[in-house]
Amino acid sequence: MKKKSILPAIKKTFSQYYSVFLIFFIWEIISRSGVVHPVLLPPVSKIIVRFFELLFFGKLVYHTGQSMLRMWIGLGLATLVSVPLGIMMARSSIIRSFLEPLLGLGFPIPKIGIYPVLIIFFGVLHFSKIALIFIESAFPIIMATFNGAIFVEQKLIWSAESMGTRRRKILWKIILPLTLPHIFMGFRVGLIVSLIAVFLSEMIASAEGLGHLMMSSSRVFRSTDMFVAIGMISFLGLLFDRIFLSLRRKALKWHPEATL
Amino acid sequence: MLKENRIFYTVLSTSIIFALWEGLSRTGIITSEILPPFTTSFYGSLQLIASDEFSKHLLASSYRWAIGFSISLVLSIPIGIYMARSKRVYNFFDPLLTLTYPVPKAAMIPILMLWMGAGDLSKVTVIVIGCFIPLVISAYHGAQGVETSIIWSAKAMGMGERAVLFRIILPASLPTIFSGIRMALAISLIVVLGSEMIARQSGLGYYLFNSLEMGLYQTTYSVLIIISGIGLFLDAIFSLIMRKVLVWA
Amino acid sequence: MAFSNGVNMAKLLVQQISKTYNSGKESREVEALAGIDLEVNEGEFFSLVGPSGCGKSTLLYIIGGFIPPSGGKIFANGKEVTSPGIDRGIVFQEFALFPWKTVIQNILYGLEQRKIKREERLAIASKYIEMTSLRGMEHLYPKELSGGMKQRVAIARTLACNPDILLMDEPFGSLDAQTRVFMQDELLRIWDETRKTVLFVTHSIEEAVHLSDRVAVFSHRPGRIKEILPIDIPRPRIREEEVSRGQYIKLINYLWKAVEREVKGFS
Repeated sequence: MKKKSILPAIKKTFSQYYSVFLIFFIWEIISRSGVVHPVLLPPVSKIIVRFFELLFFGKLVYHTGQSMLRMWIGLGLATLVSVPLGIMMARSSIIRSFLEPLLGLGFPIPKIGIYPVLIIFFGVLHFSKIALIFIESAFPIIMATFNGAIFVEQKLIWSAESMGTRRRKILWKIILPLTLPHIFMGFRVGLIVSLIAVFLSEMIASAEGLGHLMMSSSRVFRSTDMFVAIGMISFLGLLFDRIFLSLRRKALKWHPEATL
Repeated sequence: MLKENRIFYTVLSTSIIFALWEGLSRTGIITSEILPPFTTSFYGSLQLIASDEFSKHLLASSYRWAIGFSISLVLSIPIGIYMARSKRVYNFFDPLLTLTYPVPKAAMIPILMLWMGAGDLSKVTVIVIGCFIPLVISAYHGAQGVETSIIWSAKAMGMGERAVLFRIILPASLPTIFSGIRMALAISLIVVLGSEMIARQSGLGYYLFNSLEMGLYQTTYSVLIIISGIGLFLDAIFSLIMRKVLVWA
Repeated sequence: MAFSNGVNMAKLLVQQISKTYNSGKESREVEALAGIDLEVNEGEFFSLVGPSGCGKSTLLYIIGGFIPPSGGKIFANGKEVTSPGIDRGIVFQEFALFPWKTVIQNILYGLEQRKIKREERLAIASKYIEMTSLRGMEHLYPKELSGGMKQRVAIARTLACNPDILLMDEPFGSLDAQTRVFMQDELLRIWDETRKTVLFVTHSIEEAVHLSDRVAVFSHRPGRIKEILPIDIPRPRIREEEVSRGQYIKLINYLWKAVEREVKGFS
């Protein structure tokens, strides 16, 4: 039974992503033909082989681990801080008046510029990167949470109150579930920016991590290794996004908007 | 919050932050090597802007950014609009976009530097790559969201395909496109700065990181202030343009 | 007036309720309600009609305890009203269902606030699901329901809390004409089973006459009660018979004229 159902699925994937396979195919041909210097564009097959080499015999796992450690600590802390902050902004006009302009101003400022300052404070090890990731991902999560919490329909709160819910509990029972879709949206953006932030910061100044791997490989012109690093980074980005989307689909199965 | 209130609170909040900065530094809670006072740093910024050496780098960054950003606008927006009009174009680009969406384009910087050297070309290219997705997606959604009833009305009044495109679809999708441009603006600044910090040859990013490596921390803060100022300035100008163009929205 | 031994036995007593909104800056005051006196008796179906913006919903929200009055007092079941409470249930035009909860979870919501055992909660919820013809839809989410179904969930949810008074703010205003007519009769059936005291706000005079024991006509802003009209059509009110009754038509015409005067601005 299984064999039968896999073939149409493979066919479907091919036809949907034909442009991607096409590009990989052309890539392999161009690379092997020698039109482009093999250092500049190593063949896809060679990259795949090297990927497994580094995975089992090299330090790929180590570097990936370092990057992921930094990213998830930064993103996790940012979420823990930003969601309550966003909700507080929606509930208290004092907090809102203070934070809202700061958030608005912070948005167009390229926060990578603050990375050197973070290095001044925390050195080149993990903490400066975690701090950068924290700052980068906090912004979208706070803003999204705030936007969700502030528009909670009054009549829903009134309904809950007339059914005996006390003021204090309204936050947990009504506002939080309704803000959840927005929190998810903000987290998705946070996921993307924290990915960018961790790799960028590692490429600029780091002794370990996938970004560092990329830079150290480029210095000795090992382009295959560079592509392995890119491949790993891409894979992680896709993986997290897919996991995120399926979690969101489950958690928000009640939400009327199909494409959120 | 009313408009007057908003300006008031913005000034208030930023003043508090600057005062905090100044206070922490001057009182020595954080040593002034690590955190020079705000006033000193700001004064340093002014001096930098006046200096020739810095202006050279500032110009280099501006030049790269302007070219890269313009190219990405001219390239991405038409593709996005075309995707909304032609199913075949859509089917070609959509899987590429979905796959590359969660992938940080910053990872391309070293490879591009390998191919194109550490000069302007690689930076311009990475700006184009970085801004491509948000611009294409917003252009697509903008063009797609134009109500079919409006398009049909126009056609019933005898408008040809080209006229419909330029006089109906384009104006109607502008609000969405503009918000995409705003996001691409922020991304382009990060990309140009980041790539300069990696390449370490010239430009604001180089200058910033170089001051760190040389231990000239005061300069680091001064450059940071300038960079932030530029980001805010560009965004403000863009918002102004947006408001003028979209006065009907 | 419902008195017993000199004590006012009305289920709901509204005394001189007024509401003025201050728009802050130029002290531009909006007087929404200007002294409302009202008594609703136990088990009575009482409607409020009047021109748009006359304050009938505002009065309902004040009675519900969601908005504080500027002056006057309200007594429900003899106790003064100062905040929302489980004795006064409310049903809104927009349904106000909790979208992240299924039908049965919505209905169970009020019950969960009280200390009742799980089996008992489910039994109560089941009873109201049956009463509002929602059997089979317990595990659907509000996004999967039609307008009529959503309103039935809203009604079941409120009834499950067993309030003394049921406040309804144009509950059928969002429904299409046919569903609306159907829901009116559903409501009568449910009301007949539970005999709650109902305060019903509506724009539709036919609806008010069909459903109510008494109808109050509101003036235009600032809202005052111009008159209260008893609807002496015998129950059960069967639509097909009723429409041909002279009494029904007379009442509707009378109320139309009364409201029309207010809409046109005459007092």
